[in-house]
Amino acid sequence: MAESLSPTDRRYVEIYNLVKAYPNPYGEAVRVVDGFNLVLQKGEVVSVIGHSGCGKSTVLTMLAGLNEISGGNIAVAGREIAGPGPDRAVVFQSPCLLPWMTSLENVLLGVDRVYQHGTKRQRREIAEHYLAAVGLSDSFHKFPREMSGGMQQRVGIARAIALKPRVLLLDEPFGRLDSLTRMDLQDVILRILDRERITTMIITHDVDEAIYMSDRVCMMTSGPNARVGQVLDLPFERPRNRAAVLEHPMYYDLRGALVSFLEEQDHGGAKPKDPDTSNWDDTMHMVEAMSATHHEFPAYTLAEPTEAENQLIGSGA
Amino acid sequence: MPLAVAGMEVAGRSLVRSIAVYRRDESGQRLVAHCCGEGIFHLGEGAVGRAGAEGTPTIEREGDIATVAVPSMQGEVCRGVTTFRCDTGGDFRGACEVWRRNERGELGLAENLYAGLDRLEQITKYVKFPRRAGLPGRVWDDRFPRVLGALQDSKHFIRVAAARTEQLTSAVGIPFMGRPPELDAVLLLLNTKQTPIAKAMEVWARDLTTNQLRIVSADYGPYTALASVSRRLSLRHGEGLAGRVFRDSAPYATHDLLGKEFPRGDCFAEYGFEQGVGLPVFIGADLVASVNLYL
Ligand SMILES: Nc1ncnc2c1ncn2[C@@H]1O[C@H](COP(=O)(O)OP(=O)(O)OP(=O)(O)O)[C@@H](O)[C@H]1O
Ligand SMILES: [Mg+2]
Repeated sequence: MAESLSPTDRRYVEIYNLVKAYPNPYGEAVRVVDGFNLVLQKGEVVSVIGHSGCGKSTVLTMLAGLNEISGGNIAVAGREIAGPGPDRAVVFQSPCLLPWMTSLENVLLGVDRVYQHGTKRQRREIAEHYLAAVGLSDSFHKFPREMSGGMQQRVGIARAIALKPRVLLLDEPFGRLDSLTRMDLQDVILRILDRERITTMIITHDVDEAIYMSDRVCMMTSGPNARVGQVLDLPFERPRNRAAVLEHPMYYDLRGALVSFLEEQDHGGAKPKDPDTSNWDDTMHMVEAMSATHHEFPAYTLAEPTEAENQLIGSGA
Repeated sequence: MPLAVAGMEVAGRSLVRSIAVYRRDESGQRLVAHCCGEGIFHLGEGAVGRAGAEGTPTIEREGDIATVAVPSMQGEVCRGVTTFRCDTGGDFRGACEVWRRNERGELGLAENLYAGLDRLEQITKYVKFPRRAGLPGRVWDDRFPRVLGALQDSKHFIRVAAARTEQLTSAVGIPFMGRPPELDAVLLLLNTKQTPIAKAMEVWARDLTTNQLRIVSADYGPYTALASVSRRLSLRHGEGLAGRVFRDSAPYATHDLLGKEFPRGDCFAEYGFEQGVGLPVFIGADLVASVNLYL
């Protein structure tokens, strides 16, 4: 029994039976996410893919502590989370920089809050260090309006990582960027993660990005009642090398597994039920009925088999 | 001492060459051939005895022959062991997978038997199922076995790309409990069109309102007439394969579908089905289902 043996220390982020219900237009609670289970080990990068609207951001914002949990729980480093905290930093698709502040000031805003004991100079060095790490050494004093979308997103990434989070949460961080900028930023983040080993969840719609950036890909089923469909472990080494990933003998099979998962979820599965079908599945109802009445089960009486049935009726008999 | 045990020969185009059923004797220490198979095994001895002692499904290989040994554990007590001798050579196609919890608490592939399904084998090494995910994760969460048919179109069979390339048709997932309430393993039997493990598969359980046994999930593939006679069938304790499994709390196999499976016997016979085996599924001390395979 793996559970009793396994040290829990490797389970850094534990998402257990997570549920999120939102009210629909009729005021009924709809379980958008229903029974989502996932464990991230320390330093691991996991990407989450799934169709638009399945609940990826919902899971990520619940993990960030920004979105109330309707059921289940989330623990980071063995502790159940209660709201947002400096241990978790989020980068959304658009970085929401303060327009009247320079990139350096935008990054310092968080740094000043987190490193209250450092000197002003130390805090400035930290901010500059991370801006340099995302390739913005020349743009400390630029305002958001003077920067491209890609540069602004770099500031957003520097701002998040400068907080020294233990968990980094990226919600389609490159969603609005052209493909070249996107590849650049993938490498920027990978290089930082190679140094800092931050446990990371990254949401993406791009199958190749998921494969290139992460150690594991978590595939979410379509909602409502979205959950994990399966997790794919990736066999690629770190630091990542784009060419090596593309040339790996399993690359196309792994990619194919992700693509066909998404295609299948797209069909919605709501195929009309053929009354003459040669298969059926009422398991859900049975399991519900059993768990509702379990305690009223009469005990089975263990009768012994009849004499005739104990005779060999196999091959020889 | 034979490693692979002789048993009820399977004549048709099945991955399974023979089936044997062993039940515990009065001593509680030995497993004795019941309705098919031969020999007596002490707990811990041979593939049969080891499965019974360890209480978890095992797969052992000898060249092209692999023996899947499936214990039936009522709590800590082994009520029986059923073995499936499978031919993995030639053009046989099919798979048995044993999924166990890893250090993250997800299910990963622990033991396997793949016959001619290279793509499935390749990709499955990388696949993990958290609780509720995929067929193994659902079986785990339900603590109840499940048959899935039409795998190539199933939203619930996640490895659907592999299902299509490999022409998988149906699967059954069976839970094995460790010390309750913890799951120990999920056994998956995967059928192909060419050489299915079983031509039809059913999960039987007690209907809580009528107290009779009925089929909860099933797949009959092309044998549609069998599906329609089975859909509304209910059996009492002692009747049919399922009724005998429930009566004895032990696995049961038969060559005599015509005699044992009233009123479906004719239909089985017409389709050329020759044997059936029923595997009890226990959750702790409770017998919750019988998984029936027809070959
Ligand atoms: N505050 C809310 N109130 C009601 N419904 C909501 C709310 N937020 C999200 N939803 C619904 O929950 C579902 C999941 O939304 P979510 O944003 O998590 O999806 P997503 O997977 O991130 O989609 P995308 O890929 O488009 O970003 C959607 O159907 C959405 O309409
Ligand atoms: Mg989103």
